[in-house]
Amino acid sequence: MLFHSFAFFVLFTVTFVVYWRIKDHRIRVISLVVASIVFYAHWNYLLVLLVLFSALFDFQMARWIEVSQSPSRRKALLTVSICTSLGLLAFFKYTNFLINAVYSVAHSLGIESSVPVLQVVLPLGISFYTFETISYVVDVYRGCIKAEQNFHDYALFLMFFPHLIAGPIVRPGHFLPQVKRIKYLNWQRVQSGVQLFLLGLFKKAVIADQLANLVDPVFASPGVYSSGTLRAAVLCYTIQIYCDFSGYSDMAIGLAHTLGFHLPVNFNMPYFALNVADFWRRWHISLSTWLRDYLYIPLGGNRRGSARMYCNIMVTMLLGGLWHGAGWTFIFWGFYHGLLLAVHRAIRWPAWLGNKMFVPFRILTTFLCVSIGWVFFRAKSFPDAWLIIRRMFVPAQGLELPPHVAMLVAAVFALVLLAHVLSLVVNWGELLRRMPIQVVAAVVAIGFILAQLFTPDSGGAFIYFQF
Amino acid sequence: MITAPHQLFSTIWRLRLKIEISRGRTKSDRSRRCLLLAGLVFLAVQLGVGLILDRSLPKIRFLYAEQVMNAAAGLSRSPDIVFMGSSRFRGGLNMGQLQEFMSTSFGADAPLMFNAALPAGDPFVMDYLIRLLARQGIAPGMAIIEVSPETVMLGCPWTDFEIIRLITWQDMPDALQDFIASWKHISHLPSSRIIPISLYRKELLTWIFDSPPPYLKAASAAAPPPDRSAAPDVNKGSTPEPAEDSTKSQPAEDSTKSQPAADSTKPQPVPGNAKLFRNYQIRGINAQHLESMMAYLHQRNVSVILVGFPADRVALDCYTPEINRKFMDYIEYLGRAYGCSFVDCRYRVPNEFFKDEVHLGPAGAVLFTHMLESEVLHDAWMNFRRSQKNEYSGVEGAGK
Repeated sequence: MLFHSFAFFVLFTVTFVVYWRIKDHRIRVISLVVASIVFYAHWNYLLVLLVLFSALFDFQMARWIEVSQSPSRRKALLTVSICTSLGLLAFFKYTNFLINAVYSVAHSLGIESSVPVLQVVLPLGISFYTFETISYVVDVYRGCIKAEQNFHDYALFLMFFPHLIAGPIVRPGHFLPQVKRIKYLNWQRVQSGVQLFLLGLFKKAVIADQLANLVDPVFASPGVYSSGTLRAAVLCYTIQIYCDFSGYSDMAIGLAHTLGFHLPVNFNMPYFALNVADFWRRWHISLSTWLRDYLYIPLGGNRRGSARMYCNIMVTMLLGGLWHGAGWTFIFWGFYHGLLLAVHRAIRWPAWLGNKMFVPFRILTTFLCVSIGWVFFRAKSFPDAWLIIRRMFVPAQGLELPPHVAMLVAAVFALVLLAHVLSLVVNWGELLRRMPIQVVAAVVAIGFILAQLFTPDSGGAFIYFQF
Repeated sequence: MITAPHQLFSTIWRLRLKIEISRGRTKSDRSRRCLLLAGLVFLAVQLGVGLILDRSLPKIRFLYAEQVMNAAAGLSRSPDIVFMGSSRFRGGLNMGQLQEFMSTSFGADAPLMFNAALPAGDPFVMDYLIRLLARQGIAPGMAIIEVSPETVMLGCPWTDFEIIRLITWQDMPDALQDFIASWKHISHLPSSRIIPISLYRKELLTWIFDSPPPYLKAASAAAPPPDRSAAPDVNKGSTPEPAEDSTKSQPAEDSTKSQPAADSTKPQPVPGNAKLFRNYQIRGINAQHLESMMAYLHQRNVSVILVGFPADRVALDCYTPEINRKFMDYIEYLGRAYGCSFVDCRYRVPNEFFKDEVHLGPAGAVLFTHMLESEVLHDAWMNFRRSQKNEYSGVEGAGK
């Protein structure tokens, strides 16, 4: 269920009341696990068993790893755990992609046969919770954390409903201690959570979903639109994916806040990044740090020479692209960012470029590079992506945006930019604390009402749900 | 009394701790009051908007009715015959054919007919609409009203549409038993009453900005629609029809309004689903409004003909003998109490003329229209004209 649906509102209200009324800590944790199961089962009550299986399997594997003395046995258990997790992910997410890839290769070799298509339902959130189980088992193996002895605590780490479907990807070392800590209802924290939820709701429902109305038809038929329209659509998609995903993260973090949990920040104004490396320190932080800690560094990072470093960067980003979706455009998007990171690393940037007067230029260049990458991320196919990029830079005739729509697009862009700039100069927390409560209450209430009013009929699902 | 420095420091420290704790409690209280106030403001605005929407009916909530009113206002004079019902009547009557037949039969005396049927037009809707039309000066001499076992039952399948379109806080007590009877199919009740801004956001935005959303829209890349003038329109007639507005989110009988994707898997309430007729009873809000409408029309000397609209075999199989008996007993009671007649066409049209369980295809509409005009309307109108003339000559004679 979507966070901004009436059904979720009912579930969350009941969960919140029940959770804070319960005095026993263990029962509290179990109540959250039950709420998370209900949350997931509302989408598909059979596939909730898959999540529970993953939880139980890795819970037990971690316990065996911890008690095992033999290094080879520990390694074998770790391998089995990771292979099982990745195997499930590969089956549910990549089966048809792999079948199509094999048949494409066979076809290019002149071998003709029909392509079977398996009707595999992609379990929501599988990419996210798979990474969380892997990080848990690896951390236990490395001795960074102790294996959980209570299944309900581990189940909550994996299935906590705010982050279950689309992250942030939480680390066991960060989340499990919070599960064990006894919490007390802090209304200040609840207020912060509600405000953050409202911000996320606004970004998602009002900005991202509205922009989708423009983006979707243009990306569906890019050949009929003019260069101006395509550029506007790409710009809109750049904003849409940011507002959609960061909006979801804000809602997730806000909800967790109200229940006394802290989830990691996932976005830090990524479009103000000075370069591609900086972008990945600000965009989907939980994923980029996961890839760094569990893929890039174990592969050797930058400690085995330049060639190996570039290779590690490319492998990490290619797999990062593949994680996003079972499609060659996603893999290419990962390759593109890997290439940008490698080039950024390879070039010895002159010191004068660090001068403050070049900051806008660096931000714009990074923004342009990232926006081009989004074309591949969003386009249905390579031909469509190349067509869009070509028509963006080579003037072409086609359907133009109506003037009032172009103005609205400019207004949305200006609004998002203004919000970012204000975030840099205004301490919103302090400002809200100084305001009279009547004003704050009115702003919160009106915010929710406006978000309801401007939520479009169509759409609603989060972009990252498909991952 | 403080006797030593360490006691002084200890006292100061305890005092500071108490102040910090009380500040924390104050901040926590402040946040709680703030959230409570925000919740109250939110609810108050929602309920306020809900009340405004209730009072401003049909303008925002029930645009189909508004369209019917506008179409009626476009008539050259008050229609003589008004057809009232659901999308079955709407699509199943070929008004052009009907008007032509009546004109051929009666010449200058032919009635002006108006099809006021609209999707999910159950007796609740019809009662509301006939009074709206009366306020606009529409005073028909005859009313042809669609009726079927499911439209007069407790927990009518279209209750959810009425929740969206018509039901106000005043109707809630009367409609309660219908809600209970059809609890599985009234998903919009909480949102229509508690968060109406969310449910009616499209309508509200259309009303505020005089243009329907979405507002961020690239020009469509789709091919232009086919030329409609080439295909015959069974509904074309002398009466102006309400414009088909695809941006309106009003429900047809088998579509949903503002539904999230997950809700599209719910079974649609059509008669083919025999479970709907479990514990069949004729009472509730629709039966009440049917009788209220009958009394209203009877008071105004409007001649009423109830029509049992055709249905296909799958739908007809749901009408068990017990259901049919209750329904016919009820129709008989209405005839005795309000002087109306009943024409049962439910079993008259073969299956192949239906495009679904209850809606006629174009050929079926032609067949049903012919049935209605030749077997019902012709004689009914002739008798009506005769009685009018007798009344007029009686009045003239009395005058002399």
